[in-house]
Amino acid sequence: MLKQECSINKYFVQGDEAIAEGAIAAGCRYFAGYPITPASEISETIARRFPEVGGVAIQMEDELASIHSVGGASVAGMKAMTVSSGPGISLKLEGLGWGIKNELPYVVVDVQRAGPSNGVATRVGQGDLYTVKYGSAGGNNSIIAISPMNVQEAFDLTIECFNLSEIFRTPVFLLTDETVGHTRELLVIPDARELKIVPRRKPTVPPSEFLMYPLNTPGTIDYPYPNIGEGYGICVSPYTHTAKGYATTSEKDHDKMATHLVRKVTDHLDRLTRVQEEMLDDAEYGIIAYGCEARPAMEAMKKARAEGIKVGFLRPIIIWPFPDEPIYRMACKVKKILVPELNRDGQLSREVQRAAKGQAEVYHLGSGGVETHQPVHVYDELMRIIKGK
Amino acid sequence: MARTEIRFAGFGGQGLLLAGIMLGTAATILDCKNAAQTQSYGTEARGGASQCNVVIDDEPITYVGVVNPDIFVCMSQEAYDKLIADVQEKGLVFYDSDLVKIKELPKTRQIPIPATKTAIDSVGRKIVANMVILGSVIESTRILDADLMKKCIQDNVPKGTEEINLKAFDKGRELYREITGKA
Repeated sequence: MLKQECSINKYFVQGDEAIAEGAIAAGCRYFAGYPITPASEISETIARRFPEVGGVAIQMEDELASIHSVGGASVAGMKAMTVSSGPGISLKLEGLGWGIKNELPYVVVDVQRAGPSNGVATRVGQGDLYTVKYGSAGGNNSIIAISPMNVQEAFDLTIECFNLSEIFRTPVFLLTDETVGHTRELLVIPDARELKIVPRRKPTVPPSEFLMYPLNTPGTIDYPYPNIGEGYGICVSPYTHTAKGYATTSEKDHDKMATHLVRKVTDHLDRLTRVQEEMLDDAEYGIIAYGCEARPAMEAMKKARAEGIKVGFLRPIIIWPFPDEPIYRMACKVKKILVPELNRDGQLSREVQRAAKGQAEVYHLGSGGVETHQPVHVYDELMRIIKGK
Repeated sequence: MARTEIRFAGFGGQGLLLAGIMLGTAATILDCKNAAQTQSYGTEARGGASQCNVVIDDEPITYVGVVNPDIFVCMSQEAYDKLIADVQEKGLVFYDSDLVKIKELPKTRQIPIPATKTAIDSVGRKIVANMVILGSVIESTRILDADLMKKCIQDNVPKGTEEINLKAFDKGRELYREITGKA
């Protein structure tokens, strides 16, 4: 006899498909991309689903055209997204700077694979942590990046990316990886009325009084963005701008713009700090991991706990801005922190070391990628550092 | 049920990925269990080594990977030679006996299922060999209810292919009973 179906609105799908559904739920109706493993399933799902919801999806001639057209769609009032993986993200970075400077709300998804360069195209890596933060030339950036660890989060956090991009008027990264993107798990899509969606905020003052950029009050967020065609002067360009959007070469104006772009993130860390903390209250040792690596790390923690070893766990969910404060707190409690990650250069562990400010010893457990660490790898390394060998 | 790890391995194009997706879909959508399915494949669309891993558990699944499968479904010699050592000592192996030559493993039960030949003989399409071997796995292990699996296949395989897929699945169940003498 058949059991009753567990629920409607449940799907056994890949993280990539969940990202596409999350974007649709968030109101994304413009998509431009160029095929790349392991992000192509997002594009394919969008291409299949957009005609049903009235969206525009374009396979562009390259990565650069994709991100620039997404920037253009954003200026025209659309919620927009582009997706790629490491070798394509490196090309998109050119357009990203334009998006940051003109304070464009849109979302970029990076499904990380094993690099550098084309690397192992179909397999997992975590080498783009710094790429998404520092890849755009010229610094002075306001990047936000969020990292899911499972299929449900891939949906939920894609919506969050769109919401934060509207609130902070900046491109937001969903920094995921091949394992999360290609794993199939249960996805529950809530009723649209239960979802919190941040719409594009529109000016309430007449065009003559509206300033395109809130540079006189640096750090301002929740600031309106008028569409082209609504009567407001829209000034977007690659050049440093004044509050009205006109190009300027003055040192004072440039510094005003740079200060605002940085402070709109750093002044609001209370709204941009999100971590998962497990069993930290009595912890003597800690593990910090993000994305796909969080799951073997948590399994290793459970195994250690079962043996009476007091291990806690922390996962950055919003990974940029980096959660310095919760990690410092954790470092003050524990003696040693292990950081498993899928790169050999120690990207996450370097950030953890910086945030820990010497309060705990930080150990990097690296791998070039292709496979995630198994729980036993994390556990064995943890035992090794605990014993001090 | 406790955490059960199932690995399907063979060549791209044999439909092992679909078999794993059917298993995960039936477990989560129809049986209210937890499941996670992962895969690894090369850059080729067909013919390269292909692997599909499924974890099913009543409890929430933290780690989604399969390290030492309880059940190993093998449809190529290359996959067998490379992956047999990972199988749990008391694990179960289902192999396509026309494609794989096994080695002696005293503690592991290895069940020959001529899935490709049966698919050709019974419905005239070797493309449903995946459903034959899935039928045998379900009949043997009962990890999921066979009727649930059939509903899942009916709902999820490409339109127009439901009948041959379901026939192949039932043929696989029958085959297992014949081979093991369980009527």
